Amino acid sequence: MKKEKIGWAAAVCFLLLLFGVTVYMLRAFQRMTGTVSQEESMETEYYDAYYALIAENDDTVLWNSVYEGAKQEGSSGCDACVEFFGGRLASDYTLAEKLRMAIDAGVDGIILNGDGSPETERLVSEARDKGIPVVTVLNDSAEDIRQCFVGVNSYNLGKEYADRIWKLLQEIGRDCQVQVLVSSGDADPGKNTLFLGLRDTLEDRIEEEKWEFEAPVSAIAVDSGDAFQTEETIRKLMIEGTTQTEILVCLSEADTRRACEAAVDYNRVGEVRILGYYESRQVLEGIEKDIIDSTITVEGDQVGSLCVQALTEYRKTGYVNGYQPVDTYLIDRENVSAYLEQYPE
Amino acid sequence: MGKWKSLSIRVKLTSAFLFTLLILFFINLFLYTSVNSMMGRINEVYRSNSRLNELSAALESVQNSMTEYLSVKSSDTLDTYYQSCQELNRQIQRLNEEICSNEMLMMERNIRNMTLEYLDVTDEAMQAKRGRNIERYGQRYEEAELKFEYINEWIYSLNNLRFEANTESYRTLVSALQTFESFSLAVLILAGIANGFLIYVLARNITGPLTVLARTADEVARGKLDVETVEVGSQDEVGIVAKAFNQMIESIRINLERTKENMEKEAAMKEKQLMMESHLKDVQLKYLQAQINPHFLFNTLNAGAQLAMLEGAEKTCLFVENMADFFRYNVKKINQEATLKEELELVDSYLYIMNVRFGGEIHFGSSVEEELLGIKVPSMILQPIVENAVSYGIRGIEWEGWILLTAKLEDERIRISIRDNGNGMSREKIREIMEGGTREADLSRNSTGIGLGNVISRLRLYYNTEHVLEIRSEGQDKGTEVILYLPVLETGGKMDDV
Repeated sequence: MKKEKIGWAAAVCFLLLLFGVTVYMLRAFQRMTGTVSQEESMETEYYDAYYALIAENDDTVLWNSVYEGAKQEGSSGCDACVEFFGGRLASDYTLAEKLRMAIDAGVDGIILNGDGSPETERLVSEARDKGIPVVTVLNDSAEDIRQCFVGVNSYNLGKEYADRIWKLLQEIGRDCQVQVLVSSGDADPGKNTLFLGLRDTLEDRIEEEKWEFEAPVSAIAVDSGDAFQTEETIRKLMIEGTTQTEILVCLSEADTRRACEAAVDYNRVGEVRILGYYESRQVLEGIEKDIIDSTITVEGDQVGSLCVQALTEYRKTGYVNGYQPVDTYLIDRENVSAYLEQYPE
Repeated sequence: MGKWKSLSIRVKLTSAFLFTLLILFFINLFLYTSVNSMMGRINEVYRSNSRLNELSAALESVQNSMTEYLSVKSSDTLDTYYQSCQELNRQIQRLNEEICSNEMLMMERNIRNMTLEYLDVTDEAMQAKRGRNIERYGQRYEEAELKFEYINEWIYSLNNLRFEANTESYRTLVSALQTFESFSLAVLILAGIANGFLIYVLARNITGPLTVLARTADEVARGKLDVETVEVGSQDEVGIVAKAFNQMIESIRINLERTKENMEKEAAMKEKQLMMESHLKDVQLKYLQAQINPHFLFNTLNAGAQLAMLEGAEKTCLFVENMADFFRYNVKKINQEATLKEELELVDSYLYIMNVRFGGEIHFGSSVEEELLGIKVPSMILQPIVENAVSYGIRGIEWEGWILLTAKLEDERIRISIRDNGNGMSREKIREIMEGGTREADLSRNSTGIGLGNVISRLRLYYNTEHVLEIRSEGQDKGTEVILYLPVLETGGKMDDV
């Protein structure tokens, strides 16, 4: 009788096990297939507005930072979806082409890294005609037509570089060539203004201080759209400028990295003082290792956030302040560790 | 459990097989539907790519028909254009138009809006063509061409993204399918084991009592009847058979005991019969020893009687006749029952002979109730007693001897008393006779050969009771009384009509 009971109990246990395995299998199966359907539905949030972020070289740390700030601001407070417009397209398109597509796609606002070209200006004008507000960011464009510019005052930035260069000149204490890498191929008025601000301020300071050595400032044109050419230009500077080039001002994060690598490769660390623009882990490590002297950066998040705020304000009120200034920061050896902490390896 | 036990084997077996069959059926059904649904999902994976290809084809159709119309301007191409536009409109209706955080859905929205914009431009171009505004339709055509390329690029890119995502989904599903296969195998194996086990448990449950029953039956077959009763919990056919088996064993046991008792009784009866026959044989033998040929003697005596008659010797003739009667009785009745009357006649003959021999000194009197004369009794029971009374009682006494025989019904028994006034008997002698000690030793020359012991034994066997004979004597010279107590038997015609 006891054996019989054990037999029945074992049979029931077996059946329960069978049931358990079947249920587990069903759930595992549903979970696995569920992930497929969840991809489109689960994390999808719906918004009221759609803003397109359009920049020429948008695959940089700076622009990613701007994008993250804008996206965060859009989803948190402004009920807006922000996208790198055409960021997932298979082919590369120019700023104007992307702008054209954004207008055709009927976006609710455009955040544009202006290039000052007439084509851009025409398209911004068309956008305004279609009721699409345009905010230019970091580089201004179509000043009369766009609703707002969010960015650094380039002339003031130039002055900041000039102050740093003056400090370096005093350290060097002899004739020194100052070279500024300026984008060519596009009419970027911001960079030109910056260059002008730098040169004017430095020259004024030399004159005021009656500096006994020579410190000529020259602009080196690099094509920001052609990474290979820029790389070659910087390497050429490192090799040929052995006698003169002592201070190199880079006006993009990518150029700063290239200059850093070239200085190491050609053993010119300490001879060439590199002043960078914006920040990345490599740039900050360069500063920490004393390859790069310093870099001037803006807070990308803040920039993006301000852009979205401006667009939202305009959509709500039909008016927005024409200029939203962005703070700049100088990072040198003294404060680099604090910034470096923000970049995990 | 109780209900299960009361079910028949057929129902139990059917339930067991149906149950296991159902388990397997449902598991297979579940696996089948799951695999079906999975295959359906796998088939759905690339549906979005297929739709985008259809959209691209519709777009191209619009572009081609527009180009065709602008260059040829036929009504056919106009029809084709409108049909293509309709198809393209139908296609873009499937695309998302909401603003959301999913970049692929946003790409769909962009494609949708760009396509609508493109269709506006193509419409304008078509209208300009119909209005023969060459410059305008030329411009619009270029615009449309550009937008067409842009949209195609978007569709292509979205298609790529979808393909990547779908491939990921496909991989996930295929991996799920593989996992599912392993699980299915595990479940099937488990189900198989569970079913096997279940059937084993049920089979054991059903056949277990049968095995016990078979073992017990085997023991019984080998002659061991004191087996324990078979305990079966179920009330199915096995339970019924077990119960019947237990009853059968009990019945066999009881029957055996009865048979044993009967055989013992039979053996006792046979023994009794054998003893009786032995006594009769003994009597017969004694007579044969005493009288070599009773018939010859009897015929001879008859011849002697006739001779005495012829010679006129009446007394001799009477004597010889009595002798002849005596022996005739012995010859005829030795193995048979006789009536009390015949027994009395024999006693008369005997005493006549004895009186002739010993000079008429024996007086004999008898008092027998009339109705008792026809009673059947064993033969040769009175004469030996009378002979004893003559031989040991009266013979040799100095006074006149007599013998008195009375027979009467007393307490459902026939009381026959043979009393003499002879020497009497001591108590030891009486006890000796009653215990049968002198049976053989007392045979003498004057005896007929049958002792008192033989009479007692035959009476005891015949009436199946110990108390058949009593000997009373008050002592030396005070005579002896032998009393027979013969039960009146209801069967066997012992109380025949006289």
